[in-house]
Amino acid sequence: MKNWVFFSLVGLMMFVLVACSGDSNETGNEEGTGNGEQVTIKIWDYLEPGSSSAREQEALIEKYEEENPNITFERTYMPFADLKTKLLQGLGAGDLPDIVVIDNPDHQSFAQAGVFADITSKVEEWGEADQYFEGPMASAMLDDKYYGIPNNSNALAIYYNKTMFEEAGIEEVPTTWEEFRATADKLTNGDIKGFAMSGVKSEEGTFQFLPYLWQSGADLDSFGSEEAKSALSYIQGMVEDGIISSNMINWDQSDVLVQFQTEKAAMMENGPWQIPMLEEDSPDLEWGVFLMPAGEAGTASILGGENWAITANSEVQDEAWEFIKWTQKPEILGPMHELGGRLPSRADVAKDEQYVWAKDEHVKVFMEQLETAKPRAYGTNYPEISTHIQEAIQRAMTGEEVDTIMESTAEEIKALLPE
Amino acid sequence: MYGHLRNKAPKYLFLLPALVFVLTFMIYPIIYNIFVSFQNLTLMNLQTGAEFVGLDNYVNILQTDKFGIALKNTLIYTFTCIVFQVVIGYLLAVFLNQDFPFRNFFRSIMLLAWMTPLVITGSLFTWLFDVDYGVFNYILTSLNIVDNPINWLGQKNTALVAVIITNIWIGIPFNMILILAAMQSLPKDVYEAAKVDGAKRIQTFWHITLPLLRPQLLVILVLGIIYTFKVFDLILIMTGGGPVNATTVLPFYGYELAFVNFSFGESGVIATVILIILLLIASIYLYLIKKEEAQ
Repeated sequence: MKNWVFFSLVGLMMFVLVACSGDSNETGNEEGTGNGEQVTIKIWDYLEPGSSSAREQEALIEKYEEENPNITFERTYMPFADLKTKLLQGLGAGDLPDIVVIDNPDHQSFAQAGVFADITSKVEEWGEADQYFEGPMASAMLDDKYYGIPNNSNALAIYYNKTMFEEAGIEEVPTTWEEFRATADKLTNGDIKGFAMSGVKSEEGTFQFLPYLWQSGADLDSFGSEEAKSALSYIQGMVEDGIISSNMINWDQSDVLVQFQTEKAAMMENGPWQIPMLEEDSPDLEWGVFLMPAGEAGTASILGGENWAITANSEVQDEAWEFIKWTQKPEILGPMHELGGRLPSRADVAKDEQYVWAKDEHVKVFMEQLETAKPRAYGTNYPEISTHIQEAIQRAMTGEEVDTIMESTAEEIKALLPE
Repeated sequence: MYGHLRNKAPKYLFLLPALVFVLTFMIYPIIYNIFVSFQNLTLMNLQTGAEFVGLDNYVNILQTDKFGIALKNTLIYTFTCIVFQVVIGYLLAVFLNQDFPFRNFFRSIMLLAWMTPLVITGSLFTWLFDVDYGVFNYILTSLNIVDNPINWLGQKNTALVAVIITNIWIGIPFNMILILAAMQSLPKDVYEAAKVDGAKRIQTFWHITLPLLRPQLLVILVLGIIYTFKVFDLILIMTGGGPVNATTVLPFYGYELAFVNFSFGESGVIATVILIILLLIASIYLYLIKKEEAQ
């Protein structure tokens, strides 16, 4: 019995502790790089097996191994939420991979924590950094130093159900907040909602809300302002009037997609990674994409995407950098991103007429939206700031007064924003 | 004395593996956790080493509203779950203790609820509670009990209830099996004697079954409390602690502090608080057992 108590207690402790028990002396990398030419590069990523982006990753690795027989890769997949935890454990235990594929808002935090190597000299020598869009590149930098490079970008836009638009007699896609709300209102019919978005208590909720904040003209440092309040009121109003389901606070972005696929929602806010899903799973659905509506400060969207980074303690940094550099060659990056259903972060590839993002009508909209997409570059406290925003969204959708929410949240995040 | 020790030494040697295991995987983490709770350990100084900040973490965390809410939620959750699980488990045990065809089949099928992985149960109940197409709302609205579907997991006042209902459902079979096993070990002659003396059913329950089951019930209660107190997966799957903080319980709050905000020191405070509470419960149990044995 005593043991039982003990085991339960320990189980509880373990989950807090695994990440912190840092003093154990792990014996470093088994395969030394000095003797022999064989080099093993370990990669960690969160690209779900079977997804198009994982297909791209596998293809990249295979192709590079073919061209460079002395390089072998050891790729480890871990679920999105686990990757950060695993990185922390690895940091504590001194057992990290060589290359990490990381969600771009987390890049700065981990760079600051010393997980990633400063590769400024390598990037400068390479000389192609100016080809990249500003937002994605900024996400991989800290204090004017490069801690990685962007791989792919995405942004949110609005998907709409063409058949439902026709049935409701709507001919023009809405471009402003007022038009958007009116359109969504028209499309709402009992169980069928005009619009679906995610307000879940995770980074996805913040990701989906921030565009409205920026469209209103506010930002995180003016979270208590009238503009910011108008953004939250805008969403709250639509939930209160039944245009958005009140269940949105439990939906992540995949749930939002399901609402759209099952025609329970006529429009949804989502990213380009859902295009292959829609094409494969809902071939009968007639849909289109348009830009996020414009608020007082015009249209705005949010930048997502993944970056490459090399870890600070890697023994094969040069080989890892050679590989990353190779993946960014336009003739590799273009076809590979096409395969992966992702959008490039560099201008020369983005403008290249031969690729899908310059041809496909849906993808083109996302490419255009990328131009107004802002990165979540709010310093190393961003993860915690995000939890406050999630809470604010949830409070609003459960009926609390917007003024009080925004003012108290503004107070909480003020201390966390960089100077 | 020396000879005695030499005789005993090999025996103690056999204890060594277990001792090493307990020390490295149980004692060390617990002590390290308490240690961390006095440090300002975050992601930023994970590599360089953190400083001791005394009671700062405790002062910060224990003052936040969220801690109070989480503690309250944990207590409500644990108490309600245990009461219903044990009562319903007991009733089912009485039922399955009768002789009827397919008794063993029903006994084992009841265990399915307990054996299903929490991820699956959690996802299933999330759907059952759904506001737009959930079965519970369908039943409630078609029976005209409520006019509009209830957004069980999306409202502050119903989310915790929904999670509690789910956990009660999960926990019933476990309690039932344990109580059933205990019941079958009860002596039959006492009941016969009671019958002869003309005891009513209620009297039999209060004066025979309950006192005889007491030691086993105590074990079930303590196990249940510990198991329920450290709820985490169900919360993560069903609500993520939301809406707002309506379903944030202590273990989930600790997880959030450590792995979302990367504030390991503050998370250590939560873990220590949980440790102290569970130690208290365990010592009450030990005290009661001692008293029982002394009688």
